[in-house]
Amino acid sequence: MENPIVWQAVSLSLKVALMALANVVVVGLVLARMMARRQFPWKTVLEAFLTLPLVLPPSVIGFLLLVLLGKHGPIGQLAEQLWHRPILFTTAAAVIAATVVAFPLFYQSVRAAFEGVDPRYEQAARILGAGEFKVFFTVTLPLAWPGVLAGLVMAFARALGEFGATLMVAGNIPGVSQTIPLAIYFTAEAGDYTTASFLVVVVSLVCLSIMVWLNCWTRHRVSKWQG
Amino acid sequence: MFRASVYKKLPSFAVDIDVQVANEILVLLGPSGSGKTTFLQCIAGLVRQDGGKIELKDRVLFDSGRGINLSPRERRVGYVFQDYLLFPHMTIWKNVLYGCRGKKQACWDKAQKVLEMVGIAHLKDRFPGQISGGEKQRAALARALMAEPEILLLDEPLSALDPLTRYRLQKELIDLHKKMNIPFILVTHDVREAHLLGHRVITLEKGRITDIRPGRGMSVVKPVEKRPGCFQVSIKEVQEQRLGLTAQQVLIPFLDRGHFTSLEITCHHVPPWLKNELAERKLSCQVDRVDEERMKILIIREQILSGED
Repeated sequence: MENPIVWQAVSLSLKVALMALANVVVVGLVLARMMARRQFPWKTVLEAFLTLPLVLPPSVIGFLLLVLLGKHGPIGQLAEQLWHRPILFTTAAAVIAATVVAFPLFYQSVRAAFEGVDPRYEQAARILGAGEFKVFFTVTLPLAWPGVLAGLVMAFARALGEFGATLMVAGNIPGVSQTIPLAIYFTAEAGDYTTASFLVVVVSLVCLSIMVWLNCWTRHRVSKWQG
Repeated sequence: MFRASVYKKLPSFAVDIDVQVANEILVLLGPSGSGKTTFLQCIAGLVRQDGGKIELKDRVLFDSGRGINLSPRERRVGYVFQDYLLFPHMTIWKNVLYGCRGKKQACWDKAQKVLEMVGIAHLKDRFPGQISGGEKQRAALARALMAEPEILLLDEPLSALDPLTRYRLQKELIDLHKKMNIPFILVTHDVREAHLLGHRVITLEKGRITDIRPGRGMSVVKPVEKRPGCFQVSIKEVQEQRLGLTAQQVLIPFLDRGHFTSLEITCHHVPPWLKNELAERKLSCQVDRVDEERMKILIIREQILSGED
Protein backbone atom coordinates (compact mmCIF):
# COMPACT_ATOMS: atom_id res chain seq x y z
CA MET A 1 0.00 0.00 0.00
CA GLU A 2 1.79 3.09 -1.22
CA ASN A 3 -0.98 5.54 -0.46
CA PRO A 4 0.27 7.77 2.43
CA ILE A 5 -3.34 8.33 3.52
CA VAL A 6 -3.51 4.71 4.70
CA TRP A 7 -0.60 4.78 7.13
CA GLN A 8 -1.40 8.27 8.27
CA ALA A 9 -4.95 7.16 9.04
CA VAL A 10 -3.83 3.97 10.77
CA SER A 11 -1.26 5.68 13.00
CA LEU A 12 -3.58 8.58 13.78
CA SER A 13 -6.43 6.20 14.61
CA LEU A 14 -4.24 4.26 17.03
CA LYS A 15 -3.03 7.48 18.60
CA VAL A 16 -6.52 8.91 18.99
CA ALA A 17 -7.99 5.63 20.25
CA LEU A 18 -5.21 5.10 22.81
CA MET A 19 -5.43 8.66 24.10
CA ALA A 20 -9.20 8.38 24.34
CA LEU A 21 -8.78 5.07 26.14
CA ALA A 22 -6.44 6.65 28.69
CA ASN A 23 -9.06 9.31 29.45
CA VAL A 24 -11.81 6.73 29.62
CA VAL A 25 -9.85 4.50 31.99
CA VAL A 26 -8.98 7.21 34.50
CA VAL A 27 -12.45 8.77 34.62
CA GLY A 28 -14.23 5.44 34.19
CA LEU A 29 -12.47 3.65 37.05
CA VAL A 30 -13.12 6.46 39.50
CA LEU A 31 -16.77 6.90 38.55
CA ALA A 32 -17.49 3.18 38.29
CA ARG A 33 -15.99 2.55 41.71
CA MET A 34 -18.03 5.39 43.20
CA MET A 35 -21.27 4.30 41.56
CA ALA A 36 -20.77 0.65 42.50
CA ARG A 37 -20.09 1.18 46.20
CA ARG A 38 -21.75 4.40 47.28
CA GLN A 39 -25.27 5.66 47.69
CA PHE A 40 -26.06 9.32 47.22
CA PRO A 41 -28.97 11.48 46.05
CA TRP A 42 -29.46 11.88 42.31
CA LYS A 43 -27.46 8.71 41.71
CA THR A 44 -29.90 7.40 39.10
CA VAL A 45 -29.84 10.72 37.26
CA LEU A 46 -26.04 10.73 37.15
CA GLU A 47 -26.15 7.11 36.05
CA ALA A 48 -28.43 7.96 33.12
CA PHE A 49 -26.25 10.91 32.20
CA LEU A 50 -23.09 8.76 32.15
CA THR A 51 -24.60 6.20 29.80
CA LEU A 52 -26.37 8.72 27.60
CA PRO A 53 -23.75 8.75 24.80
CA LEU A 54 -24.53 5.08 24.25
CA VAL A 55 -28.08 5.80 23.12
CA LEU A 56 -27.79 9.26 21.62
CA PRO A 57 -27.28 9.48 17.84
CA PRO A 58 -23.64 10.32 17.01
CA SER A 59 -24.75 13.48 15.27
CA VAL A 60 -26.43 14.68 18.48
CA ILE A 61 -23.23 14.05 20.42
CA GLY A 62 -21.29 15.78 17.67
CA PHE A 63 -23.58 18.79 17.81
CA LEU A 64 -23.41 19.06 21.60
CA LEU A 65 -19.63 18.83 21.50
CA LEU A 66 -19.55 21.43 18.76
CA VAL A 67 -21.40 23.82 21.06
CA LEU A 68 -19.28 22.97 24.14
CA LEU A 69 -15.92 23.03 22.40
CA GLY A 70 -16.67 25.94 20.07
CA LYS A 71 -15.32 29.47 20.44
CA HIS A 72 -18.30 30.52 22.57
CA GLY A 73 -18.69 27.24 24.42
CA PRO A 74 -17.41 26.91 28.01
CA ILE A 75 -14.72 24.33 27.19
CA GLY A 76 -13.69 26.14 24.03
CA GLN A 77 -13.27 29.40 25.93
CA LEU A 78 -11.27 27.70 28.67
CA ALA A 79 -8.92 26.18 26.09
CA GLU A 80 -8.58 29.55 24.42
CA GLN A 81 -7.47 31.07 27.73
CA LEU A 82 -5.09 28.25 28.60
CA TRP A 83 -3.40 27.51 25.28
CA HIS A 84 -4.58 30.38 23.06
CA ARG A 85 -5.70 27.85 20.50
CA PRO A 86 -9.10 26.54 19.45
CA ILE A 87 -9.97 22.89 20.05
CA LEU A 88 -12.31 22.33 17.13
CA PHE A 89 -10.81 20.61 14.07
CA THR A 90 -7.71 19.41 15.91
CA THR A 91 -6.58 15.96 17.01
CA ALA A 92 -7.67 16.92 20.52
CA ALA A 93 -11.26 17.30 19.29
CA ALA A 94 -11.08 13.83 17.74
CA VAL A 95 -9.78 12.44 21.04
CA ILE A 96 -12.60 14.14 22.97
CA ALA A 97 -15.22 12.79 20.57
CA ALA A 98 -13.78 9.29 20.83
CA THR A 99 -13.60 9.57 24.63
CA VAL A 100 -17.24 10.58 24.95
CA VAL A 101 -18.61 7.79 22.80
CA ALA A 102 -16.30 5.11 24.22
CA PHE A 103 -16.83 6.07 27.86
CA PRO A 104 -20.22 4.42 28.53
CA LEU A 105 -19.03 1.06 27.23
CA PHE A 106 -16.07 0.99 29.59
CA TYR A 107 -18.01 2.49 32.46
CA GLN A 108 -20.89 0.02 32.26
CA SER A 109 -18.66 -3.01 32.00
CA VAL A 110 -16.42 -1.90 34.87
CA ARG A 111 -19.25 -0.90 37.13
CA ALA A 112 -20.88 -4.28 36.68
CA ALA A 113 -17.51 -5.92 37.37
CA PHE A 114 -16.99 -3.89 40.56
CA GLU A 115 -20.49 -4.73 41.73
CA GLY A 116 -19.69 -8.38 41.12
CA VAL A 117 -16.78 -8.29 43.55
CA ASP A 118 -17.91 -9.50 46.96
CA PRO A 119 -17.36 -6.44 49.19
CA ARG A 120 -16.34 -8.76 51.99
CA TYR A 121 -13.04 -9.40 50.21
CA GLU A 122 -12.41 -5.69 50.54
CA GLN A 123 -13.37 -5.82 54.20
CA ALA A 124 -11.01 -8.72 54.75
CA ALA A 125 -8.22 -6.66 53.20
CA ARG A 126 -9.04 -3.63 55.37
CA ILE A 127 -8.97 -5.74 58.52
CA LEU A 128 -5.54 -6.96 57.44
CA GLY A 129 -4.40 -3.36 57.52
CA ALA A 130 -4.72 -2.33 53.88
CA GLY A 131 -5.56 1.29 53.01
CA GLU A 132 -8.17 2.15 50.40
CA PHE A 133 -5.59 2.43 47.60
CA LYS A 134 -4.08 -0.95 48.38
CA VAL A 135 -7.53 -2.49 48.66
CA PHE A 136 -8.50 -1.12 45.26
CA PHE A 137 -5.36 -2.09 43.39
CA THR A 138 -4.68 -5.46 45.02
CA VAL A 139 -8.19 -6.77 45.61
CA THR A 140 -11.02 -4.94 43.82
CA LEU A 141 -9.30 -4.32 40.50
CA PRO A 142 -7.73 -7.78 40.08
CA LEU A 143 -11.01 -9.49 40.98
CA ALA A 144 -12.91 -7.26 38.57
CA TRP A 145 -10.22 -7.59 35.91
CA PRO A 146 -12.15 -9.68 33.35
CA GLY A 147 -14.88 -7.04 33.27
CA VAL A 148 -12.34 -4.23 33.19
CA LEU A 149 -10.51 -5.86 30.31
CA ALA A 150 -13.73 -6.46 28.40
CA GLY A 151 -14.56 -2.79 28.95
CA LEU A 152 -11.11 -1.76 27.72
CA VAL A 153 -11.48 -3.80 24.55
CA MET A 154 -14.96 -2.53 23.78
CA ALA A 155 -14.02 1.07 24.51
CA PHE A 156 -10.91 0.78 22.36
CA ALA A 157 -12.89 -0.70 19.49
CA ARG A 158 -15.55 1.97 19.83
CA ALA A 159 -12.93 4.75 19.93
CA LEU A 160 -11.21 3.27 16.91
CA GLY A 161 -14.48 3.13 15.00
CA GLU A 162 -15.84 6.53 15.97
CA PHE A 163 -17.14 8.36 12.91
CA GLY A 164 -20.08 10.72 13.24
CA ALA A 165 -19.14 12.92 16.18
CA THR A 166 -15.49 13.03 15.06
CA LEU A 167 -16.49 14.24 11.63
CA MET A 168 -18.56 17.03 13.14
CA VAL A 169 -16.03 18.36 15.67
CA ALA A 170 -12.71 17.44 14.07
CA GLY A 171 -13.45 17.36 10.37
CA ASN A 172 -11.58 15.19 7.92
CA ILE A 173 -8.05 16.57 7.89
CA PRO A 174 -5.40 14.00 6.90
CA GLY A 175 -2.82 13.62 9.69
CA VAL A 176 -4.93 15.67 12.12
CA SER A 177 -8.35 14.15 12.32
CA GLN A 178 -8.70 11.70 9.45
CA THR A 179 -8.96 8.42 11.30
CA ILE A 180 -9.52 5.04 9.62
CA PRO A 181 -13.34 5.22 9.52
CA LEU A 182 -13.21 8.70 7.98
CA ALA A 183 -10.54 7.61 5.52
CA ILE A 184 -12.66 4.60 4.52
CA TYR A 185 -15.71 6.80 4.00
CA PHE A 186 -13.95 9.44 1.95
CA THR A 187 -11.80 7.07 -0.16
CA ALA A 188 -14.86 4.96 -0.94
CA GLU A 189 -16.79 8.12 -1.75
CA ALA A 190 -14.01 9.13 -4.14
CA GLY A 191 -14.16 5.72 -5.81
CA ASP A 192 -10.80 4.49 -4.42
CA TYR A 193 -12.03 1.04 -3.47
CA THR A 194 -8.52 -0.45 -3.18
CA THR A 195 -7.53 1.86 -0.35
CA ALA A 196 -10.92 1.56 1.32
CA SER A 197 -10.92 -2.23 1.26
CA PHE A 198 -7.36 -2.40 2.54
CA LEU A 199 -8.34 -0.26 5.53
CA VAL A 200 -11.43 -2.39 6.08
CA VAL A 201 -9.29 -5.53 6.17
CA VAL A 202 -6.82 -3.91 8.61
CA VAL A 203 -9.56 -2.83 11.02
CA SER A 204 -11.36 -6.17 10.83
CA LEU A 205 -8.19 -8.16 11.49
CA VAL A 206 -7.19 -6.00 14.44
CA CYS A 207 -10.64 -6.30 16.02
CA LEU A 208 -10.87 -10.04 15.38
CA SER A 209 -7.47 -10.80 16.90
CA ILE A 210 -8.23 -8.72 19.99
CA MET A 211 -11.48 -10.61 20.53
CA VAL A 212 -9.79 -14.01 20.09
CA TRP A 213 -7.04 -13.07 22.51
CA LEU A 214 -9.56 -11.79 25.06
CA ASN A 215 -11.53 -15.04 24.99
CA CYS A 216 -8.40 -17.18 25.36
CA TRP A 217 -7.07 -15.04 28.17
CA THR A 218 -10.30 -15.11 30.18
CA ARG A 219 -10.48 -18.90 29.95
CA HIS A 220 -6.83 -19.31 30.92
CA ARG A 221 -7.11 -17.00 33.87
CA VAL A 222 -10.10 -18.76 35.39
CA SER A 223 -8.51 -22.18 34.98
CA LYS A 224 -5.32 -20.97 36.64
CA TRP A 225 -7.10 -20.30 39.92
CA GLN A 226 -9.05 -23.53 39.99
CA GLY A 227 -7.73 -26.98 40.65
CA MET B 1 -7.69 -7.71 78.31
CA PHE B 2 -10.50 -6.91 75.95
CA ARG B 3 -13.69 -5.15 76.91
CA ALA B 4 -16.57 -4.55 74.59
CA SER B 5 -19.96 -3.11 75.14
CA VAL B 6 -21.80 -3.09 71.88
CA TYR B 7 -25.16 -1.62 71.12
CA LYS B 8 -26.39 -1.95 67.56
CA LYS B 9 -29.94 -1.64 66.28
CA LEU B 10 -31.01 -4.25 63.77
CA PRO B 11 -34.33 -4.26 61.90
CA SER B 12 -36.09 -6.66 64.27
CA PHE B 13 -34.11 -6.36 67.50
CA ALA B 14 -31.06 -4.69 68.97
CA VAL B 15 -27.73 -6.30 69.73
CA ASP B 16 -26.80 -5.31 73.26
CA ILE B 17 -23.80 -7.20 74.53
CA ASP B 18 -21.29 -6.42 77.22
CA VAL B 19 -18.28 -8.71 77.67
CA GLN B 20 -14.79 -8.80 79.09
CA VAL B 21 -12.37 -11.26 77.62
CA ALA B 22 -9.04 -12.29 79.09
CA ASN B 23 -6.56 -14.42 77.15
CA GLU B 24 -9.17 -17.11 76.80
CA ILE B 25 -11.43 -18.57 74.18
CA LEU B 26 -14.83 -17.00 74.56
CA VAL B 27 -17.54 -18.73 72.60
CA LEU B 28 -20.72 -16.99 71.50
CA LEU B 29 -23.40 -19.56 71.01
CA GLY B 30 -26.75 -18.95 69.45
CA PRO B 31 -29.06 -19.74 66.57
CA SER B 32 -28.59 -17.98 63.27
CA GLY B 33 -29.93 -14.46 63.39
CA SER B 34 -29.17 -13.98 67.07
CA GLY B 35 -26.67 -11.18 66.43
CA LYS B 36 -23.44 -13.17 66.86
CA THR B 37 -21.87 -12.10 63.59
CA THR B 38 -23.05 -8.50 63.98
CA PHE B 39 -21.26 -8.41 67.31
CA LEU B 40 -18.01 -9.57 65.70
CA GLN B 41 -18.43 -7.10 62.85
CA CYS B 42 -18.84 -4.25 65.32
CA ILE B 43 -15.64 -5.27 67.10
CA ALA B 44 -13.76 -5.39 63.80
CA GLY B 45 -15.24 -2.06 62.72
CA LEU B 46 -16.98 -3.51 59.67
CA VAL B 47 -20.32 -2.35 60.99
CA ARG B 48 -20.74 0.89 62.85
CA GLN B 49 -22.35 0.32 66.20
CA ASP B 50 -24.89 2.79 67.57
CA GLY B 51 -23.41 3.03 71.01
CA GLY B 52 -21.02 1.55 73.51
CA LYS B 53 -17.30 1.27 73.97
CA ILE B 54 -14.62 -1.16 72.87
CA GLU B 55 -11.21 -1.33 74.51
CA LEU B 56 -8.37 -3.61 73.50
CA LYS B 57 -5.44 -3.64 75.88
CA ASP B 58 -4.80 0.07 76.48
CA ARG B 59 -6.34 1.25 73.22
CA VAL B 60 -9.85 2.51 72.69
CA LEU B 61 -11.24 1.15 69.41
CA PHE B 62 -14.65 2.68 69.73
CA ASP B 63 -16.28 5.07 72.14
CA SER B 64 -19.59 6.62 71.19
CA GLY B 65 -19.31 9.10 74.06
CA ARG B 66 -15.99 10.51 72.91
CA GLY B 67 -16.68 10.03 69.22
CA ILE B 68 -13.84 7.56 68.71
CA ASN B 69 -14.26 5.06 65.92
CA LEU B 70 -11.08 3.48 64.60
CA SER B 71 -11.20 2.10 61.07
CA PRO B 72 -10.87 -1.69 60.66
CA ARG B 73 -7.32 -1.12 59.45
CA GLU B 74 -6.25 0.57 62.68
CA ARG B 75 -7.87 -1.88 65.06
CA ARG B 76 -5.38 -4.76 64.90
CA VAL B 77 -8.11 -7.30 65.10
CA GLY B 78 -7.78 -10.66 63.40
CA TYR B 79 -10.87 -11.96 61.68
CA VAL B 80 -11.46 -15.42 60.30
CA PHE B 81 -14.56 -15.54 58.15
CA GLN B 82 -16.93 -18.45 57.90
CA ASP B 83 -16.13 -18.90 54.21
CA TYR B 84 -12.48 -17.88 54.74
CA LEU B 85 -12.50 -15.10 52.08
CA LEU B 86 -9.02 -15.96 50.91
CA PHE B 87 -8.21 -13.76 47.93
CA PRO B 88 -8.87 -16.12 45.02
CA HIS B 89 -6.41 -14.43 42.68
CA MET B 90 -3.43 -14.79 45.01
CA THR B 91 -1.47 -17.86 46.02
CA ILE B 92 -1.63 -18.98 49.63
CA TRP B 93 1.79 -17.42 50.09
CA LYS B 94 0.60 -14.02 48.82
CA ASN B 95 -2.57 -14.31 50.88
CA VAL B 96 -0.63 -14.96 54.04
CA LEU B 97 1.80 -12.12 53.35
CA TYR B 98 -1.00 -9.64 52.68
CA GLY B 99 -1.36 -8.36 56.22
CA CYS B 100 2.32 -8.34 57.14
CA ARG B 101 3.64 -4.95 58.15
CA GLY B 102 7.40 -4.96 58.10
CA LYS B 103 10.46 -5.64 56.00
CA LYS B 104 10.20 -8.12 53.17
CA GLN B 105 12.66 -10.67 54.47
CA ALA B 106 11.26 -10.54 58.00
CA CYS B 107 7.76 -11.06 56.57
CA TRP B 108 8.91 -14.03 54.50
CA ASP B 109 10.53 -15.68 57.48
CA LYS B 110 7.47 -15.11 59.58
CA ALA B 111 5.09 -16.33 56.87
CA GLN B 112 7.11 -19.52 56.56
CA LYS B 113 6.91 -20.05 60.31
CA VAL B 114 3.18 -19.36 60.51
CA LEU B 115 2.48 -21.67 57.56
CA GLU B 116 4.49 -24.41 59.24
CA MET B 117 2.66 -23.81 62.47
CA VAL B 118 -0.72 -24.41 60.82
CA GLY B 119 0.73 -27.25 58.75
CA ILE B 120 0.27 -26.02 55.18
CA ALA B 121 3.76 -24.83 54.23
CA HIS B 122 3.75 -27.30 51.31
CA LEU B 123 0.69 -25.59 49.79
CA LYS B 124 2.03 -22.06 49.62
CA ASP B 125 2.19 -21.88 45.83
CA ARG B 126 -1.37 -23.07 45.33
CA PHE B 127 -4.37 -20.87 44.77
CA PRO B 128 -7.26 -21.04 47.25
CA GLY B 129 -9.42 -22.72 44.59
CA GLN B 130 -6.97 -25.61 44.50
CA ILE B 131 -7.00 -26.67 48.16
CA SER B 132 -9.52 -28.35 50.47
CA GLY B 133 -11.80 -26.68 53.00
CA GLY B 134 -9.66 -27.61 55.98
CA GLU B 135 -6.55 -26.31 54.25
CA LYS B 136 -8.35 -23.08 53.40
CA GLN B 137 -9.29 -22.71 57.04
CA ARG B 138 -5.66 -23.13 58.07
CA ALA B 139 -4.60 -20.61 55.43
CA ALA B 140 -7.21 -18.15 56.69
CA LEU B 141 -5.89 -18.57 60.23
CA ALA B 142 -2.32 -18.08 59.03
CA ARG B 143 -3.31 -14.94 57.14
CA ALA B 144 -5.09 -13.48 60.16
CA LEU B 145 -2.18 -14.27 62.50
CA MET B 146 0.42 -12.72 60.18
CA ALA B 147 -1.02 -9.27 60.86
CA GLU B 148 -0.16 -9.78 64.55
CA PRO B 149 -3.65 -9.15 65.85
CA GLU B 150 -4.25 -8.45 69.50
CA ILE B 151 -7.49 -10.40 69.42
CA LEU B 152 -8.74 -13.06 67.03
CA LEU B 153 -12.38 -13.19 65.97
CA LEU B 154 -13.60 -16.40 64.43
CA ASP B 155 -17.00 -16.41 62.72
CA GLU B 156 -18.21 -20.00 62.58
CA PRO B 157 -14.75 -21.03 61.43
CA LEU B 158 -15.39 -24.75 61.28
CA SER B 159 -19.00 -24.93 60.15
CA ALA B 160 -18.24 -25.64 56.49
CA LEU B 161 -15.93 -28.59 57.20
CA ASP B 162 -16.53 -32.32 57.23
CA PRO B 163 -16.74 -33.87 60.73
CA LEU B 164 -13.28 -35.40 60.73
CA THR B 165 -11.47 -32.23 59.61
CA ARG B 166 -13.60 -30.30 61.98
CA TYR B 167 -12.60 -32.44 64.92
CA ARG B 168 -8.93 -32.12 64.00
CA LEU B 169 -9.15 -28.35 63.64
CA GLN B 170 -10.95 -27.99 66.95
CA LYS B 171 -7.94 -29.49 68.66
CA GLU B 172 -5.58 -27.36 66.58
CA LEU B 173 -7.47 -24.22 67.51
CA ILE B 174 -7.00 -24.99 71.19
CA ASP B 175 -3.28 -25.53 70.63
CA LEU B 176 -3.05 -22.39 68.55
CA HIS B 177 -4.68 -20.37 71.28
CA LYS B 178 -2.10 -21.60 73.77
CA LYS B 179 0.70 -20.54 71.43
CA MET B 180 -0.73 -17.12 70.57
CA ASN B 181 -1.87 -16.19 74.04
CA ILE B 182 -4.37 -13.56 72.86
CA PRO B 183 -8.13 -13.48 73.37
CA PHE B 184 -10.15 -15.51 70.87
CA ILE B 185 -13.83 -14.84 70.35
CA LEU B 186 -15.45 -17.66 68.46
CA VAL B 187 -18.98 -17.71 67.16
CA THR B 188 -20.80 -20.96 66.57
CA HIS B 189 -24.25 -22.50 66.59
CA ASP B 190 -22.87 -25.90 67.50
CA VAL B 191 -23.30 -26.53 71.22
CA ARG B 192 -20.86 -29.40 71.28
CA GLU B 193 -18.19 -27.32 69.65
CA ALA B 194 -18.89 -24.40 71.95
CA HIS B 195 -18.28 -26.46 75.04
CA LEU B 196 -15.29 -28.21 73.56
CA LEU B 197 -13.48 -25.01 72.62
CA GLY B 198 -14.70 -22.34 74.97
CA HIS B 199 -13.29 -21.41 78.32
CA ARG B 200 -16.53 -19.58 78.63
CA VAL B 201 -19.67 -20.03 76.60
CA ILE B 202 -22.09 -17.17 76.19
CA THR B 203 -25.51 -17.90 74.83
CA LEU B 204 -27.17 -15.22 72.75
CA GLU B 205 -30.76 -14.79 71.86
CA LYS B 206 -32.08 -11.86 69.86
CA GLY B 207 -28.95 -9.87 70.53
CA ARG B 208 -28.88 -10.38 74.26
CA ILE B 209 -26.86 -12.60 76.54
CA THR B 210 -29.18 -15.16 78.06
CA ASP B 211 -26.57 -17.33 79.67
CA ILE B 212 -22.88 -17.41 80.57
CA ARG B 213 -21.25 -20.67 81.54
CA PRO B 214 -17.76 -22.01 81.87
CA GLY B 215 -16.95 -24.35 79.01
CA ARG B 216 -14.15 -26.86 78.49
CA GLY B 217 -15.84 -29.88 79.93
CA MET B 218 -17.69 -28.11 82.67
CA SER B 219 -20.46 -26.92 80.53
CA VAL B 220 -23.32 -26.49 82.88
CA VAL B 221 -21.99 -25.67 86.24
CA LYS B 222 -23.38 -24.63 89.53
CA PRO B 223 -21.55 -25.53 92.71
CA VAL B 224 -23.86 -27.66 94.81
CA GLU B 225 -24.00 -26.91 98.49
CA LYS B 226 -20.61 -27.02 100.10
CA ARG B 227 -19.32 -30.11 98.43
CA PRO B 228 -16.20 -29.18 96.53
CA GLY B 229 -15.97 -30.19 92.91
CA CYS B 230 -19.59 -31.08 92.69
CA PHE B 231 -21.68 -29.56 89.96
CA GLN B 232 -25.30 -29.58 89.21
CA VAL B 233 -26.98 -29.78 85.88
CA SER B 234 -30.60 -29.19 85.30
CA ILE B 235 -31.82 -30.82 82.15
CA LYS B 236 -35.07 -28.96 82.34
CA GLU B 237 -33.15 -25.75 82.27
CA VAL B 238 -31.15 -26.91 79.31
CA GLN B 239 -34.25 -27.79 77.39
CA GLU B 240 -35.81 -24.49 78.09
CA GLN B 241 -33.08 -22.57 76.40
CA ARG B 242 -35.26 -22.66 73.32
CA LEU B 243 -32.25 -23.25 71.17
CA GLY B 244 -33.87 -26.19 69.52
CA LEU B 245 -31.35 -28.41 71.24
CA THR B 246 -31.89 -31.58 73.17
CA ALA B 247 -30.36 -32.23 76.52
CA GLN B 248 -28.34 -34.95 74.80
CA GLN B 249 -26.56 -32.42 72.63
CA VAL B 250 -25.62 -30.40 75.63
CA LEU B 251 -24.58 -33.16 77.98
CA ILE B 252 -22.64 -35.63 75.91
CA PRO B 253 -19.74 -33.35 75.02
CA PHE B 254 -19.05 -32.56 78.59
CA LEU B 255 -19.52 -36.10 79.78
CA ASP B 256 -16.80 -36.96 77.29
CA ARG B 257 -14.37 -34.59 78.87
CA GLY B 258 -14.66 -35.93 82.40
CA HIS B 259 -13.29 -32.84 84.05
CA PHE B 260 -15.71 -33.01 86.92
CA THR B 261 -15.23 -34.85 90.14
CA SER B 262 -18.86 -35.33 90.70
CA LEU B 263 -21.95 -34.26 88.99
CA GLU B 264 -25.54 -33.95 89.81
CA ILE B 265 -28.15 -33.95 87.15
CA THR B 266 -31.65 -32.85 87.86
CA CYS B 267 -34.30 -33.92 85.44
CA HIS B 268 -37.98 -34.51 85.43
CA HIS B 269 -37.36 -38.02 84.38
CA VAL B 270 -34.15 -39.85 83.71
CA PRO B 271 -34.01 -40.20 79.97
CA PRO B 272 -33.21 -43.69 78.70
CA TRP B 273 -30.55 -42.35 76.34
CA LEU B 274 -28.52 -41.12 79.25
CA LYS B 275 -28.40 -44.54 80.87
CA ASN B 276 -27.45 -46.12 77.55
CA GLU B 277 -24.90 -43.48 76.82
CA LEU B 278 -23.17 -44.06 80.10
CA ALA B 279 -23.15 -47.80 79.66
CA GLU B 280 -22.00 -47.70 76.06
CA ARG B 281 -19.30 -45.13 76.33
CA LYS B 282 -17.74 -46.63 79.42
CA LEU B 283 -17.03 -43.18 80.72
CA SER B 284 -14.77 -42.99 83.66
CA CYS B 285 -17.67 -42.35 85.91
CA GLN B 286 -20.42 -44.37 87.43
CA VAL B 287 -23.99 -43.85 88.23
CA ASP B 288 -24.09 -43.37 91.95
CA ARG B 289 -27.72 -43.03 92.61
CA VAL B 290 -30.79 -42.81 90.52
CA ASP B 291 -33.70 -41.42 92.36
CA GLU B 292 -36.58 -41.44 89.98
CA GLU B 293 -39.19 -41.24 92.68
CA ARG B 294 -38.43 -38.08 94.60
CA MET B 295 -36.35 -35.35 93.09
CA LYS B 296 -35.40 -37.54 90.17
CA ILE B 297 -31.76 -36.94 90.72
CA LEU B 298 -28.98 -38.80 89.08
CA ILE B 299 -25.52 -38.60 90.49
CA ILE B 300 -22.54 -39.53 88.45
CA ARG B 301 -19.12 -39.68 89.93
CA GLU B 302 -15.81 -39.96 88.30
CA GLN B 303 -14.12 -43.01 89.75
CA ILE B 304 -10.55 -41.85 89.74
CA LEU B 305 -11.18 -38.65 91.59
CA SER B 306 -13.84 -39.73 94.00
CA GLY B 307 -11.85 -40.76 97.01
CA GLU B 308 -13.40 -38.88 99.85
CA ASP B 309 -16.95 -40.12 100.40
